[in-house]
Amino acid sequence: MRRVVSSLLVALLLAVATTPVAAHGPDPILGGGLFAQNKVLQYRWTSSGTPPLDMKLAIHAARDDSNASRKSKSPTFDYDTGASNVIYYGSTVPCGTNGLACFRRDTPDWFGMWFRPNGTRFDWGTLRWCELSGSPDGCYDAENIALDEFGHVLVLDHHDNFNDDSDYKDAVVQTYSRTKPRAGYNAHSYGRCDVAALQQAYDIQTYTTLYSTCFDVPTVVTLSASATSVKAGTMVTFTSTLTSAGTGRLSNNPMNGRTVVLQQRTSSGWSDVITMAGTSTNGQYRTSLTARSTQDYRALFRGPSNEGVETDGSPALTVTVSASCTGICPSSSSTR
Amino acid sequence: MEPIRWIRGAVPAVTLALVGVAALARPPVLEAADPPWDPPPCPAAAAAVTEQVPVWYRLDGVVDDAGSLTGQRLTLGPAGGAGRTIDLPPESFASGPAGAGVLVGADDGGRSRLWLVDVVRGCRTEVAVETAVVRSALVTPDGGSVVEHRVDRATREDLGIWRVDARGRASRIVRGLAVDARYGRTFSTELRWAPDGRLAVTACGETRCRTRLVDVTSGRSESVGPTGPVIGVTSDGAVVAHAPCEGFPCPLVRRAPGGDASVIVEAAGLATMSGDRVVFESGRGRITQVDANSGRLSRLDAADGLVPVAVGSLAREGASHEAQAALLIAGTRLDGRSARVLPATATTPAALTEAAR
Repeated sequence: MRRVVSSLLVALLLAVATTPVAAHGPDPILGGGLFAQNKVLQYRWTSSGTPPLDMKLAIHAARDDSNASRKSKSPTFDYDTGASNVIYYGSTVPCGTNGLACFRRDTPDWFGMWFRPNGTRFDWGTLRWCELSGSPDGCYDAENIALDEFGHVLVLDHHDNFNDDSDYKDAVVQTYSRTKPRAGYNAHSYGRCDVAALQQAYDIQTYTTLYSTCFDVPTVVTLSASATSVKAGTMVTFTSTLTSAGTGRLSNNPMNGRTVVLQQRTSSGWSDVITMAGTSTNGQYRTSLTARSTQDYRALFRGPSNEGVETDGSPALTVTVSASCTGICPSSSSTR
Repeated sequence: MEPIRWIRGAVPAVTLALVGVAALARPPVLEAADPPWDPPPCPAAAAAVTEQVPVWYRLDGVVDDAGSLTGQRLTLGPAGGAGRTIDLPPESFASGPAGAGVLVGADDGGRSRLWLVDVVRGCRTEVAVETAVVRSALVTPDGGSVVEHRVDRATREDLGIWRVDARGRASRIVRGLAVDARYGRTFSTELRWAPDGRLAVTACGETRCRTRLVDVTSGRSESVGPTGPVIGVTSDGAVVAHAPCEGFPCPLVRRAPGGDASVIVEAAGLATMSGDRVVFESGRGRITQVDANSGRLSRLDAADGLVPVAVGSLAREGASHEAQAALLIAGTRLDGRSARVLPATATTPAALTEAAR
């Protein structure tokens, strides 16, 4: 009996290869596990396949591109002559008969990367690296291809493009790469869907880091008040928290540096009262108001256009205002 | 090892006799450090290569200081020995061995020439000269002809697969592929023989590949894909390949014509295939084998650290071995000493010379 080991990843990979998807989302994730968050992965050139100078510079530039545009806690790369990870340039590449370059990742400690030499003959013609050949039309940008490989090493699989490739520039890690002068051939930072996958796999870089617009992460907003039953003219402090509610690494992350507004209910709906200020506590926003009448309040986070997060509003919180206090007053209350 | 029955009568007999004497008078094997070898034509009487001496070959790219590929260096020799080197232009290939012969193709920018180099006798037989670019080729299992993959010299259009018989007559047996947006432009087209005698023609884009299984007599074919680079074909005609990963570790999949892909190993490195088994890297330095039909994994003895060698018309190295045996390398470069053969029923690889006994 045939043993068929199902693999969601491969099923997806092959299904995608058969029928380009219409949906849009983060790059798929490779199997084989992850490196540690923020680990520094050092590399060196192999003695048997040291790249020429311009190729070295392109690979180093791609390293810097990866480090600068990861927007996540994915590892960074650095060059060190004593590194155990290797990068090779030459004809002895372990990656099939096709392709421009390939990689090997062996988490949690090792990776390798191989680049075919300028002048390699393929069925379609001769490989020209732009950096080594005077940058003629039809050349491949080595920095872009190296960035694709660094992305693979981190964990990224090829982006699933729309049928018409209109989203090509959303990812550097592509099933096939463009040549000069097609749009995106020389992209030197991860695309938003590369970043989304890195954030999902490794978490966002800091609590102020914006979530990639390639996904749509739910958020949760809470609101509490220093008192919910006060005498007119009392200052009430409202405290809100904003956290991500995605899956895995993207769940329950405090979100700093965002705009959270305090709203109050009116006869026509909710209206903004004031923008709450961030505090020194991660994900916390605060403001104070003088209470003059009983009101329903809520905190609202509007998902901005430059970030892939959803809008969320806290449940309503009623602050009851009376003319004078009788008994124990004020008392505090909170929601969520 | 199948004997090669390649006989070509186009070379004048007197010339053949003279160069044949010269070739036989020379030691058959020189060290790799020797000057590049230009094998002389084989004498007509020696054209039938029947020796059972195992041989090997390896292609290394030659890259100049500016990082450009300037040529290919083919090294070939008998088991246990070093080799002779032949300098070839950048667009060159080698395949086999078939018997003691290695099929060599070289394109000088104007014509593609194919020879069968008899490694033991130290001579070569011209097989074909084409104006189109011959990207790669294989000797047919009966040794009587070769199959070539050609592209147009000017446009690089895929001209399909051609069969050239011993008298130099060429006929196209498979049409060229049109560009398909799902695969991108074709990077490589590789040929290999399936166990049922069909020719597997695998065309790969940058990452995705599709394979046509062709009956070279009738021209009928079945298509399989997409997969990643192909490792081999099972006895019942399923393609075994990596998934389209562009790197390792990568799943190994089995895909029959018209069927879905099923994963037989979820993470593999380099792999080779013989019969219905796949010998693959299951981790850094670890070698395992799996039955491609049953998915049954089994251990190998003294195989860890060896490197599986791919087979096909674009293989960068090869060595003689039984049809059901797998080839591996002890080290990083294949030569007469580092080649290891894993016979069909064995669990321990043997050196090339031992495997031939």
